Amino acid sequence: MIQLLNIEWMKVKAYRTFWILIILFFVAVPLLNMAIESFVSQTKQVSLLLGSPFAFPRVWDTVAWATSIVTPIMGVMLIIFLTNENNFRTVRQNIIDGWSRDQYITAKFGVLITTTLFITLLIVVTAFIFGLKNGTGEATENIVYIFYAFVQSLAYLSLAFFLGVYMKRAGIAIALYVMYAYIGEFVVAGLLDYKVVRHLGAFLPLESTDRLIPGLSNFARKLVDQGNPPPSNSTYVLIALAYIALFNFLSWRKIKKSDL
Amino acid sequence: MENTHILSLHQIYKNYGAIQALKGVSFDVPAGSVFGILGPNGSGKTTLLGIVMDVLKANSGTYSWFGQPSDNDHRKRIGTLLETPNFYHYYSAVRNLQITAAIKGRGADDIERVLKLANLWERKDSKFSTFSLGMKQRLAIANAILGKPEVLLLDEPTNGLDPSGIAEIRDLIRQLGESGTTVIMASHMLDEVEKVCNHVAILKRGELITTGHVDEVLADEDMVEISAADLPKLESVLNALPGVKSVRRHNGSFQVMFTESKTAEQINKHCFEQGVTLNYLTTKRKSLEARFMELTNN
Repeated sequence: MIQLLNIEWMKVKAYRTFWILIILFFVAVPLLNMAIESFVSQTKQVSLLLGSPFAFPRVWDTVAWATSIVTPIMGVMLIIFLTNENNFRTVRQNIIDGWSRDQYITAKFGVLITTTLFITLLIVVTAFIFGLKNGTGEATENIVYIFYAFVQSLAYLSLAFFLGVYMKRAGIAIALYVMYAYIGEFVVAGLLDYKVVRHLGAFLPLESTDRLIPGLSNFARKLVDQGNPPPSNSTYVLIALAYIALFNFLSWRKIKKSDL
Repeated sequence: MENTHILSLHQIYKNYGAIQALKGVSFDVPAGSVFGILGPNGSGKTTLLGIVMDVLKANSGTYSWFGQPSDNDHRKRIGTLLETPNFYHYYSAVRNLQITAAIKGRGADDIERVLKLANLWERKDSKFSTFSLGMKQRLAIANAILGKPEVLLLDEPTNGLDPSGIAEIRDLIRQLGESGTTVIMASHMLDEVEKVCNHVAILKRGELITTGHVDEVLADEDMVEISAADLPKLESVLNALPGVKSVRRHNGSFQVMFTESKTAEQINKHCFEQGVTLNYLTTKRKSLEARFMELTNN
């Protein structure tokens, strides 16, 4: 596994697009959190409404939620990484040179997990720094949000992984991904929730994790959900894990069975 | 070693939708041979090589490398150029070869040698995307011979190369063949196969036409071109000659094929004895080109 990941690392370590996206994400996460913190703390009415979301223990939820807004950057990176292998036909060459298809898939899953861990770690460090800065509260409370953040990141990236494996063209895959992540699912979830059955929107792959980590949208969600108790967090986690399993199974099957 | 097979194919079938690309192809590649897979465009050569390298999935049939069931580690012992050069466009020649060496688990110390052999050493740090077609092809060949594999599998290796490049590659293949490397080479160019291969398999529309030693498969047949003032009489005399396979009129002379070898003297004597004086007589070896057309076009 280490050897496979080492080769994947060779493929990106001098790839400019990779570094631009990583740095963009790395910078965007703390900056976005700073911007939201300033917005909340410097406007009295908002501050009264929202309390102190950047203090322990709420900071875990808040930072995970804010980070998920920019997580698609890492999804785009993953799509480019995977579609490159198709477009350059290097997936073929990797197999020809002696990898089994299983090794190729394992290497790619390794990248998926590593990227998810990177995002989770960045969330933990960022949340910890903001939490310390804002003083009060118990740091270990709400620590389960680190796990939720991992599940959420994995769900976002698994969708990207699926698109990267199935779509030949990076441009179309990225456009679909970004549209779906930012608008598509919001629209579908809204229609399902309010035109069909309440909380049905929670059964969508990204929405399930968005509701797991409501962040600053929590107060609005509570208002909407009055009289209609939402599914439990463990239900959200199960839905997300089911989608993660589905996306990765389909990707695995495609690489395993198809002509390359 | 002489009797072992490097690669054995057994009843390989492959469909692309309704199109049957391979219809039950079986043959063996002897160890140490320079084996040509010959066939016109679309005859299934690349499909066949793709299947034995596990990048394409056969609908049915089996193959084995080194006399053992298929295993990805076998491919680490085979240097392959399949159809097009596949490299990371954003990386230099050296970085690309480093990745290959890492996957194969050998050859990292061989990069300088193969790049020099492929005349790419001066461009070793240039990005692959800046290479010309011929340079890409040469990098693919360098990639195939990286780490001195036991077997080379080359699909149209001289594609996109200039005449001197073609000659260099042929020399290289011949040298590797002489030094004991088994070379499997697909080509639609007959003279290429004729010049470098000692064994051949001929494919046509997904079917194996014939396989064997190149001298047997592309066996030369003698052909005689012959003419006389009295052509009708010559024709009847020729038809009476024992051992004649066919007589064909061609530009005021006859092209005669024999089932058994005849010398010019024997033919001349026969015609003269039958009262025909020849004004033209030449023996020609039937070209391999004609043999190839005969094998693949009927």
